[in-house]
Amino acid sequence: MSTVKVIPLKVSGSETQIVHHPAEIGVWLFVFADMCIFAMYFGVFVWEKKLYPAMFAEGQATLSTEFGGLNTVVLLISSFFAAKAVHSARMLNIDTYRRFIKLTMLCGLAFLCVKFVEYSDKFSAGFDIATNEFYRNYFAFTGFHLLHVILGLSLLTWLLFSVKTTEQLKGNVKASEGVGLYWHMVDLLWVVLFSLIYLVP
Amino acid sequence: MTDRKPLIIVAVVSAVMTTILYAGGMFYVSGFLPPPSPALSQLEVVSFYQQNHTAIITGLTMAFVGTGFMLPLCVIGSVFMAEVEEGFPYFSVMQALCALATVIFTALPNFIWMTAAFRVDRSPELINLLHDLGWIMWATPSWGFAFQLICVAVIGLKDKRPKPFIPRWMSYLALWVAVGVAPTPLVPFFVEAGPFAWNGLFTFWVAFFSPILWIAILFVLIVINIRNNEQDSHQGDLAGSRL
Repeated sequence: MSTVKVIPLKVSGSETQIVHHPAEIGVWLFVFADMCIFAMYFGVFVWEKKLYPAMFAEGQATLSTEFGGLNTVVLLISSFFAAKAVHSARMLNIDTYRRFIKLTMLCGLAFLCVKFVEYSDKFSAGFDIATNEFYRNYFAFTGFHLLHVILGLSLLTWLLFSVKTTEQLKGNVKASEGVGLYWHMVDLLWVVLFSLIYLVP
Repeated sequence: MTDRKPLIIVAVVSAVMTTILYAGGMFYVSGFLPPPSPALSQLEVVSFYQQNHTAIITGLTMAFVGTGFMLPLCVIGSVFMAEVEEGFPYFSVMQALCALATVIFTALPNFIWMTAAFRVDRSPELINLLHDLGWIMWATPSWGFAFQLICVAVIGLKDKRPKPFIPRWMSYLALWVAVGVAPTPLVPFFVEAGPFAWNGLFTFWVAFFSPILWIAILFVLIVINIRNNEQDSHQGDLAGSRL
Protein backbone atom coordinates (compact mmCIF):
# COMPACT_ATOMS: atom_id res chain seq x y z
CA MET A 1 0.00 0.00 0.00
CA SER A 2 2.86 2.34 0.75
CA THR A 3 3.80 2.18 -2.93
CA VAL A 4 0.58 3.96 -3.87
CA LYS A 5 1.67 6.99 -1.91
CA VAL A 6 4.87 7.23 -3.95
CA ILE A 7 2.90 8.02 -7.10
CA PRO A 8 2.11 11.68 -6.44
CA LEU A 9 5.83 12.44 -6.57
CA LYS A 10 6.16 10.89 -10.00
CA VAL A 11 2.97 11.90 -11.78
CA SER A 12 2.40 15.56 -11.33
CA GLY A 13 -0.98 17.22 -11.66
CA SER A 14 -3.47 14.40 -11.40
CA GLU A 15 -2.06 12.52 -8.43
CA THR A 16 -5.18 12.60 -6.26
CA GLN A 17 -7.24 11.26 -9.15
CA ILE A 18 -4.88 8.36 -9.70
CA VAL A 19 -4.83 7.40 -6.03
CA HIS A 20 -8.56 7.58 -5.44
CA HIS A 21 -10.23 6.78 -8.77
CA PRO A 22 -8.55 4.16 -10.90
CA ALA A 23 -9.65 4.48 -14.56
CA GLU A 24 -12.14 6.96 -15.96
CA ILE A 25 -15.71 7.24 -14.76
CA GLY A 26 -16.82 6.18 -18.27
CA VAL A 27 -15.10 2.81 -17.93
CA TRP A 28 -16.98 2.21 -14.70
CA LEU A 29 -20.18 3.16 -16.49
CA PHE A 30 -19.37 0.65 -19.23
CA VAL A 31 -18.60 -2.05 -16.67
CA PHE A 32 -21.84 -1.38 -14.81
CA ALA A 33 -23.97 -1.40 -17.96
CA ASP A 34 -22.27 -4.53 -19.31
CA MET A 35 -22.76 -6.34 -16.03
CA CYS A 36 -26.45 -5.48 -16.24
CA ILE A 37 -26.65 -7.39 -19.54
CA PHE A 38 -24.81 -10.34 -17.99
CA ALA A 39 -27.14 -10.17 -14.98
CA MET A 40 -29.99 -10.64 -17.44
CA TYR A 41 -28.15 -13.66 -18.91
CA PHE A 42 -27.84 -15.19 -15.47
CA GLY A 43 -31.50 -14.44 -14.83
CA VAL A 44 -32.59 -16.11 -18.08
CA PHE A 45 -30.42 -19.13 -17.29
CA VAL A 46 -31.83 -19.57 -13.78
CA TRP A 47 -35.38 -19.02 -15.01
CA GLU A 48 -35.12 -21.59 -17.77
CA LYS A 49 -33.36 -24.03 -15.49
CA LYS A 50 -36.48 -23.90 -13.33
CA LEU A 51 -38.68 -24.49 -16.36
CA TYR A 52 -36.68 -27.46 -17.73
CA PRO A 53 -34.80 -29.01 -14.81
CA ALA A 54 -34.26 -32.39 -16.51
CA MET A 55 -32.91 -30.91 -19.75
CA PHE A 56 -30.51 -28.62 -17.87
CA ALA A 57 -29.23 -31.40 -15.62
CA GLU A 58 -28.66 -33.60 -18.66
CA GLY A 59 -26.92 -30.82 -20.56
CA GLN A 60 -24.72 -29.89 -17.63
CA ALA A 61 -23.56 -33.49 -17.33
CA THR A 62 -22.16 -33.34 -20.88
CA LEU A 63 -20.06 -30.24 -20.17
CA SER A 64 -16.40 -30.63 -19.36
CA THR A 65 -15.60 -29.13 -15.96
CA GLU A 66 -11.92 -29.81 -16.73
CA PHE A 67 -11.90 -27.37 -19.65
CA GLY A 68 -14.09 -24.90 -17.76
CA GLY A 69 -11.98 -25.15 -14.62
CA LEU A 70 -8.76 -24.81 -16.61
CA ASN A 71 -10.11 -21.64 -18.20
CA THR A 72 -11.08 -20.30 -14.79
CA VAL A 73 -7.55 -20.79 -13.53
CA VAL A 74 -6.10 -19.28 -16.72
CA LEU A 75 -8.25 -16.18 -16.38
CA LEU A 76 -7.55 -15.77 -12.67
CA ILE A 77 -3.81 -15.89 -13.40
CA SER A 78 -4.28 -13.41 -16.24
CA SER A 79 -6.09 -11.08 -13.85
CA PHE A 80 -3.10 -11.24 -11.53
CA PHE A 81 -0.81 -10.30 -14.44
CA ALA A 82 -3.17 -7.49 -15.44
CA ALA A 83 -3.08 -6.12 -11.90
CA LYS A 84 0.72 -6.33 -11.97
CA ALA A 85 0.74 -4.46 -15.30
CA VAL A 86 -1.44 -1.69 -13.91
CA HIS A 87 0.81 -1.47 -10.88
CA SER A 88 3.90 -1.16 -13.09
CA ALA A 89 2.11 1.50 -15.11
CA ARG A 90 1.59 3.54 -11.96
CA MET A 91 5.24 3.07 -11.07
CA LEU A 92 6.09 4.12 -14.66
CA ASN A 93 8.17 0.98 -15.05
CA ILE A 94 7.95 0.36 -18.79
CA ASP A 95 9.83 -2.94 -18.91
CA THR A 96 7.79 -4.80 -16.31
CA TYR A 97 4.68 -3.13 -17.69
CA ARG A 98 5.21 -4.55 -21.16
CA ARG A 99 6.19 -7.94 -19.77
CA PHE A 100 2.98 -8.21 -17.75
CA ILE A 101 0.83 -6.99 -20.64
CA LYS A 102 2.35 -9.77 -22.77
CA LEU A 103 1.76 -12.35 -20.03
CA THR A 104 -1.87 -11.24 -19.71
CA MET A 105 -2.29 -11.58 -23.46
CA LEU A 106 -0.72 -15.02 -23.36
CA CYS A 107 -3.31 -16.14 -20.80
CA GLY A 108 -6.08 -14.61 -22.91
CA LEU A 109 -4.86 -16.53 -25.95
CA ALA A 110 -4.67 -19.72 -23.86
CA PHE A 111 -8.31 -19.13 -22.90
CA LEU A 112 -9.23 -18.86 -26.60
CA CYS A 113 -7.42 -22.11 -27.40
CA VAL A 114 -9.14 -24.03 -24.59
CA LYS A 115 -12.49 -22.61 -25.66
CA PHE A 116 -11.80 -23.63 -29.26
CA VAL A 117 -11.05 -27.21 -28.20
CA GLU A 118 -14.09 -27.27 -25.93
CA TYR A 119 -16.45 -25.95 -28.61
CA SER A 120 -15.17 -28.33 -31.28
CA ASP A 121 -15.58 -31.15 -28.78
CA LYS A 122 -19.24 -30.18 -28.36
CA PHE A 123 -19.79 -29.73 -32.11
CA SER A 124 -18.34 -33.13 -32.91
CA ALA A 125 -20.55 -34.67 -30.21
CA GLY A 126 -23.50 -33.27 -32.17
CA PHE A 127 -24.48 -30.36 -29.93
CA ASP A 128 -24.92 -26.85 -31.28
CA ILE A 129 -26.72 -23.65 -30.46
CA ALA A 130 -30.05 -24.89 -31.85
CA THR A 131 -30.02 -28.25 -29.99
CA ASN A 132 -32.15 -27.16 -27.02
CA GLU A 133 -32.58 -24.38 -24.46
CA PHE A 134 -29.63 -25.50 -22.39
CA TYR A 135 -27.20 -25.52 -25.32
CA ARG A 136 -28.62 -22.27 -26.66
CA ASN A 137 -27.77 -20.61 -23.36
CA TYR A 138 -24.44 -22.37 -23.06
CA PHE A 139 -23.22 -21.35 -26.51
CA ALA A 140 -24.77 -17.88 -26.53
CA PHE A 141 -23.60 -16.82 -23.07
CA THR A 142 -20.11 -18.29 -23.21
CA GLY A 143 -19.84 -17.05 -26.81
CA PHE A 144 -20.77 -13.54 -25.76
CA HIS A 145 -18.20 -13.79 -22.99
CA LEU A 146 -15.65 -15.01 -25.54
CA LEU A 147 -16.37 -11.89 -27.58
CA HIS A 148 -15.45 -9.89 -24.49
CA VAL A 149 -12.17 -11.77 -24.16
CA ILE A 150 -11.37 -11.04 -27.82
CA LEU A 151 -12.21 -7.37 -27.25
CA GLY A 152 -9.93 -7.34 -24.22
CA LEU A 153 -7.12 -8.93 -26.22
CA SER A 154 -7.54 -6.24 -28.88
CA LEU A 155 -7.27 -3.54 -26.22
CA LEU A 156 -4.14 -5.17 -24.78
CA THR A 157 -2.63 -5.39 -28.26
CA TRP A 158 -3.36 -1.71 -28.74
CA LEU A 159 -1.58 -0.91 -25.45
CA LEU A 160 1.37 -3.08 -26.44
CA PHE A 161 1.77 -1.25 -29.75
CA SER A 162 1.12 2.28 -28.54
CA VAL A 163 3.09 2.22 -25.28
CA LYS A 164 6.78 1.60 -25.89
CA THR A 165 8.56 4.27 -23.88
CA THR A 166 8.25 5.68 -20.36
CA GLU A 167 7.08 8.91 -21.95
CA GLN A 168 4.20 7.11 -23.72
CA LEU A 169 3.41 5.20 -20.54
CA LYS A 170 2.98 8.47 -18.64
CA GLY A 171 0.12 9.42 -20.94
CA ASN A 172 -1.46 5.99 -20.74
CA VAL A 173 -1.71 5.24 -17.03
CA LYS A 174 -5.44 5.94 -17.03
CA ALA A 175 -5.94 3.91 -20.19
CA SER A 176 -4.03 0.98 -18.66
CA GLU A 177 -6.17 1.17 -15.56
CA GLY A 178 -9.27 1.17 -17.76
CA VAL A 179 -8.14 -1.90 -19.70
CA GLY A 180 -7.15 -3.58 -16.43
CA LEU A 181 -10.56 -2.88 -14.95
CA TYR A 182 -12.25 -4.26 -18.05
CA TRP A 183 -10.09 -7.37 -17.92
CA HIS A 184 -11.00 -7.98 -14.26
CA MET A 185 -14.67 -7.68 -15.18
CA VAL A 186 -14.25 -10.28 -17.94
CA ASP A 187 -12.55 -12.56 -15.42
CA LEU A 188 -15.25 -12.04 -12.80
CA LEU A 189 -18.03 -12.72 -15.31
CA TRP A 190 -16.36 -15.96 -16.35
CA VAL A 191 -16.16 -17.12 -12.74
CA VAL A 192 -19.92 -16.55 -12.37
CA LEU A 193 -20.68 -18.16 -15.76
CA PHE A 194 -18.52 -21.15 -14.92
CA SER A 195 -20.16 -21.75 -11.58
CA LEU A 196 -23.65 -21.19 -12.94
CA ILE A 197 -23.43 -23.27 -16.13
CA TYR A 198 -20.89 -25.97 -15.22
CA LEU A 199 -21.10 -26.42 -11.46
CA VAL A 200 -24.38 -25.47 -9.77
CA PRO A 201 -26.44 -28.68 -9.62
CA MET B 1 -15.38 28.02 -38.59
CA THR B 2 -18.95 27.91 -39.84
CA ASP B 3 -21.87 28.70 -37.62
CA ARG B 4 -22.90 25.47 -35.90
CA LYS B 5 -26.30 26.44 -34.67
CA PRO B 6 -28.22 25.73 -37.91
CA LEU B 7 -26.56 22.33 -38.13
CA ILE B 8 -27.48 21.47 -34.57
CA ILE B 9 -31.06 22.60 -35.13
CA VAL B 10 -31.30 20.39 -38.25
CA ALA B 11 -29.94 17.46 -36.21
CA VAL B 12 -32.49 17.98 -33.45
CA VAL B 13 -35.37 18.32 -35.91
CA SER B 14 -34.23 15.17 -37.75
CA ALA B 15 -34.08 13.23 -34.52
CA VAL B 16 -37.60 14.33 -33.64
CA MET B 17 -38.89 13.45 -37.13
CA THR B 18 -37.26 10.00 -37.03
CA THR B 19 -38.72 9.26 -33.63
CA ILE B 20 -42.24 10.42 -34.44
CA LEU B 21 -42.44 8.76 -37.85
CA TYR B 22 -40.63 5.53 -37.03
CA ALA B 23 -42.04 4.91 -33.57
CA GLY B 24 -45.50 6.08 -34.65
CA GLY B 25 -45.48 3.98 -37.81
CA MET B 26 -44.05 0.81 -36.30
CA PHE B 27 -45.50 0.75 -32.77
CA TYR B 28 -48.79 2.59 -33.19
CA VAL B 29 -50.11 2.48 -36.76
CA SER B 30 -48.89 -0.81 -38.22
CA GLY B 31 -48.39 -2.72 -34.97
CA PHE B 32 -45.14 -4.29 -36.22
CA LEU B 33 -43.29 -3.43 -33.03
CA PRO B 34 -42.82 -4.98 -30.60
CA PRO B 35 -42.20 -7.85 -33.04
CA PRO B 36 -44.65 -10.74 -33.33
CA SER B 37 -43.38 -14.11 -32.17
CA PRO B 38 -41.51 -16.11 -34.83
CA ALA B 39 -43.52 -19.12 -33.65
CA LEU B 40 -46.84 -17.74 -35.00
CA SER B 41 -48.71 -20.17 -37.25
CA GLN B 42 -49.06 -19.53 -40.98
CA LEU B 43 -52.72 -18.76 -40.51
CA GLU B 44 -52.10 -16.19 -37.79
CA VAL B 45 -49.54 -14.39 -39.93
CA VAL B 46 -51.85 -14.28 -42.95
CA SER B 47 -54.79 -13.00 -40.93
CA PHE B 48 -52.55 -10.29 -39.44
CA TYR B 49 -51.82 -9.01 -42.95
CA GLN B 50 -55.41 -9.39 -44.12
CA GLN B 51 -57.04 -7.66 -41.20
CA ASN B 52 -54.62 -4.73 -40.97
CA HIS B 53 -53.95 -4.21 -44.68
CA THR B 54 -54.29 -0.40 -44.81
CA ALA B 55 -52.84 0.24 -41.36
CA ILE B 56 -49.78 -1.87 -42.22
CA ILE B 57 -49.04 -0.01 -45.45
CA THR B 58 -49.62 3.38 -43.82
CA GLY B 59 -47.46 2.58 -40.80
CA LEU B 60 -44.63 1.07 -42.82
CA THR B 61 -44.61 4.07 -45.15
CA MET B 62 -44.35 6.45 -42.21
CA ALA B 63 -41.55 4.35 -40.77
CA PHE B 64 -39.41 4.27 -43.92
CA VAL B 65 -39.77 8.01 -44.40
CA GLY B 66 -38.73 8.36 -40.76
CA THR B 67 -35.56 6.32 -41.25
CA GLY B 68 -34.53 8.75 -44.01
CA PHE B 69 -34.26 11.50 -41.40
CA MET B 70 -31.51 9.52 -39.67
CA LEU B 71 -29.13 10.54 -42.48
CA PRO B 72 -28.96 14.31 -41.85
CA LEU B 73 -28.57 13.53 -38.16
CA CYS B 74 -25.66 11.13 -38.68
CA VAL B 75 -23.92 13.29 -41.27
CA ILE B 76 -24.03 16.27 -38.90
CA GLY B 77 -22.46 13.99 -36.30
CA SER B 78 -19.66 13.38 -38.81
CA VAL B 79 -19.19 17.15 -39.28
CA PHE B 80 -18.37 17.45 -35.60
CA MET B 81 -16.25 14.31 -35.61
CA ALA B 82 -14.19 15.42 -38.62
CA GLU B 83 -12.85 18.42 -36.67
CA VAL B 84 -11.05 16.05 -34.33
CA GLU B 85 -9.36 14.08 -37.10
CA GLU B 86 -6.16 15.07 -38.87
CA GLY B 87 -5.78 14.42 -42.58
CA PHE B 88 -8.44 12.30 -44.23
CA PRO B 89 -11.36 12.07 -41.76
CA TYR B 90 -11.50 8.30 -41.89
CA PHE B 91 -13.74 7.66 -38.87
CA SER B 92 -16.18 10.42 -39.79
CA VAL B 93 -16.61 9.11 -43.33
CA MET B 94 -16.89 5.57 -42.00
CA GLN B 95 -19.57 6.66 -39.54
CA ALA B 96 -21.61 8.35 -42.27
CA LEU B 97 -21.30 5.35 -44.61
CA CYS B 98 -22.35 2.95 -41.87
CA ALA B 99 -25.28 5.24 -41.14
CA LEU B 100 -26.36 4.67 -44.74
CA ALA B 101 -26.13 0.91 -44.18
CA THR B 102 -28.17 1.24 -41.00
CA VAL B 103 -30.83 3.27 -42.81
CA ILE B 104 -31.01 0.80 -45.69
CA PHE B 105 -31.27 -2.27 -43.48
CA THR B 106 -33.87 -0.56 -41.32
CA ALA B 107 -36.00 0.64 -44.24
CA LEU B 108 -35.70 -2.29 -46.66
CA PRO B 109 -37.73 -4.79 -44.58
CA ASN B 110 -40.61 -2.32 -44.67
CA PHE B 111 -40.89 -2.80 -48.43
CA ILE B 112 -40.80 -6.55 -48.04
CA TRP B 113 -43.62 -6.49 -45.49
CA MET B 114 -45.48 -4.04 -47.72
CA THR B 115 -45.18 -6.55 -50.55
CA ALA B 116 -46.73 -9.15 -48.25
CA ALA B 117 -49.61 -6.80 -47.48
CA PHE B 118 -49.90 -5.65 -51.12
CA ARG B 119 -51.74 -8.76 -52.41
CA VAL B 120 -53.19 -10.45 -49.36
CA ASP B 121 -54.99 -13.00 -51.55
CA ARG B 122 -51.70 -14.61 -52.60
CA SER B 123 -50.85 -18.02 -51.21
CA PRO B 124 -50.26 -18.15 -47.41
CA GLU B 125 -46.80 -19.71 -47.87
CA LEU B 126 -45.63 -16.71 -49.83
CA ILE B 127 -46.97 -14.24 -47.27
CA ASN B 128 -45.14 -16.20 -44.58
CA LEU B 129 -41.97 -16.23 -46.63
CA LEU B 130 -42.04 -12.45 -47.03
CA HIS B 131 -42.88 -12.04 -43.37
CA ASP B 132 -39.85 -14.13 -42.30
CA LEU B 133 -37.57 -12.49 -44.85
CA GLY B 134 -38.52 -9.06 -43.57
CA TRP B 135 -38.01 -9.95 -39.92
CA ILE B 136 -34.70 -11.68 -40.41
CA MET B 137 -33.45 -8.74 -42.44
CA TRP B 138 -34.70 -6.29 -39.83
CA ALA B 139 -33.43 -8.05 -36.73
CA THR B 140 -30.13 -9.63 -37.80
CA PRO B 141 -27.78 -6.97 -39.22
CA SER B 142 -26.45 -4.80 -36.42
CA TRP B 143 -22.90 -4.34 -37.71
CA GLY B 144 -23.59 -1.01 -39.43
CA PHE B 145 -24.87 0.53 -36.26
CA ALA B 146 -22.15 -1.07 -34.13
CA PHE B 147 -19.46 0.37 -36.46
CA GLN B 148 -21.09 3.79 -36.26
CA LEU B 149 -20.93 3.70 -32.48
CA ILE B 150 -17.34 2.46 -32.47
CA CYS B 151 -16.33 5.32 -34.79
CA VAL B 152 -18.09 7.85 -32.56
CA ALA B 153 -16.41 6.37 -29.48
CA VAL B 154 -12.93 6.34 -31.04
CA ILE B 155 -13.22 9.99 -32.04
CA GLY B 156 -14.87 10.92 -28.75
CA LEU B 157 -11.95 9.42 -26.84
CA LYS B 158 -9.36 10.98 -29.18
CA ASP B 159 -10.88 14.42 -28.67
CA LYS B 160 -8.53 16.12 -26.20
CA ARG B 161 -9.93 19.64 -26.55
CA PRO B 162 -11.16 21.34 -23.38
CA LYS B 163 -14.70 21.04 -24.72
CA PRO B 164 -14.85 17.77 -26.69
CA PHE B 165 -17.81 17.23 -29.00
CA ILE B 166 -19.41 14.69 -26.65
CA PRO B 167 -18.63 13.95 -22.99
CA ARG B 168 -16.11 11.13 -22.62
CA TRP B 169 -18.50 8.90 -20.74
CA MET B 170 -20.83 9.01 -23.76
CA SER B 171 -18.04 7.35 -25.78
CA TYR B 172 -17.83 4.52 -23.28
CA LEU B 173 -21.59 4.21 -23.28
CA ALA B 174 -21.46 4.03 -27.10
CA LEU B 175 -19.03 1.12 -26.84
CA TRP B 176 -21.41 -0.60 -24.45
CA VAL B 177 -24.27 -0.18 -26.95
CA ALA B 178 -22.04 -1.62 -29.68
CA VAL B 179 -21.52 -4.67 -27.45
CA GLY B 180 -25.22 -4.75 -26.58
CA VAL B 181 -26.31 -5.07 -30.22
CA ALA B 182 -23.71 -7.78 -30.90
CA PRO B 183 -25.97 -10.85 -30.28
CA THR B 184 -28.36 -10.04 -33.16
CA PRO B 185 -26.63 -12.44 -35.64
CA LEU B 186 -28.11 -15.24 -33.51
CA VAL B 187 -31.65 -14.39 -34.69
CA PRO B 188 -31.82 -16.79 -37.68
CA PHE B 189 -31.06 -19.78 -35.44
CA PHE B 190 -34.31 -19.64 -33.50
CA VAL B 191 -37.75 -20.35 -34.92
CA GLU B 192 -39.09 -20.79 -31.39
CA ALA B 193 -39.65 -17.74 -29.23
CA GLY B 194 -36.87 -17.21 -26.69
CA PRO B 195 -34.29 -14.66 -25.53
CA PHE B 196 -32.47 -14.76 -28.90
CA ALA B 197 -35.46 -14.94 -31.24
CA TRP B 198 -36.27 -11.82 -33.29
CA ASN B 199 -38.63 -10.69 -30.52
CA GLY B 200 -36.30 -11.88 -27.76
CA LEU B 201 -34.99 -10.17 -24.67
CA PHE B 202 -31.43 -9.74 -25.98
CA THR B 203 -31.98 -9.51 -29.72
CA PHE B 204 -34.93 -7.13 -29.58
CA TRP B 205 -35.44 -5.50 -26.19
CA VAL B 206 -31.76 -4.91 -25.37
CA ALA B 207 -30.51 -4.55 -28.95
CA PHE B 208 -33.26 -2.11 -29.93
CA PHE B 209 -33.60 -0.05 -26.79
CA SER B 210 -29.94 0.34 -25.77
CA PRO B 211 -29.21 2.40 -28.94
CA ILE B 212 -32.38 4.37 -28.32
CA LEU B 213 -31.27 5.04 -24.76
CA TRP B 214 -27.93 6.32 -26.05
CA ILE B 215 -29.53 8.54 -28.68
CA ALA B 216 -32.05 9.85 -26.16
CA ILE B 217 -29.26 10.82 -23.74
CA LEU B 218 -27.37 12.50 -26.61
CA PHE B 219 -30.52 14.36 -27.56
CA VAL B 220 -31.05 15.64 -24.02
CA LEU B 221 -27.39 16.72 -23.80
CA ILE B 222 -27.62 18.59 -27.11
CA VAL B 223 -30.78 20.41 -26.05
CA ILE B 224 -29.26 21.35 -22.68
CA ASN B 225 -26.18 22.55 -24.52
CA ILE B 226 -28.17 24.75 -26.89
CA ARG B 227 -29.86 26.37 -23.92
CA ASN B 228 -26.63 26.87 -21.99
CA ASN B 229 -24.72 28.25 -24.96
CA GLU B 230 -27.15 30.92 -26.10
CA GLN B 231 -24.45 33.58 -26.42
CA ASP B 232 -20.91 32.16 -26.37
CA SER B 233 -19.68 30.83 -29.69
CA HIS B 234 -18.60 27.32 -28.80
CA GLN B 235 -15.97 25.27 -30.51
CA GLY B 236 -16.39 21.55 -30.99
CA ASP B 237 -18.85 21.05 -28.21
CA LEU B 238 -21.98 19.34 -29.55
CA ALA B 239 -23.49 17.77 -26.48
CA GLY B 240 -22.64 19.50 -23.24
CA SER B 241 -19.20 18.03 -22.70
CA ARG B 242 -18.96 19.63 -19.27
CA LEU B 243 -21.76 17.48 -17.94
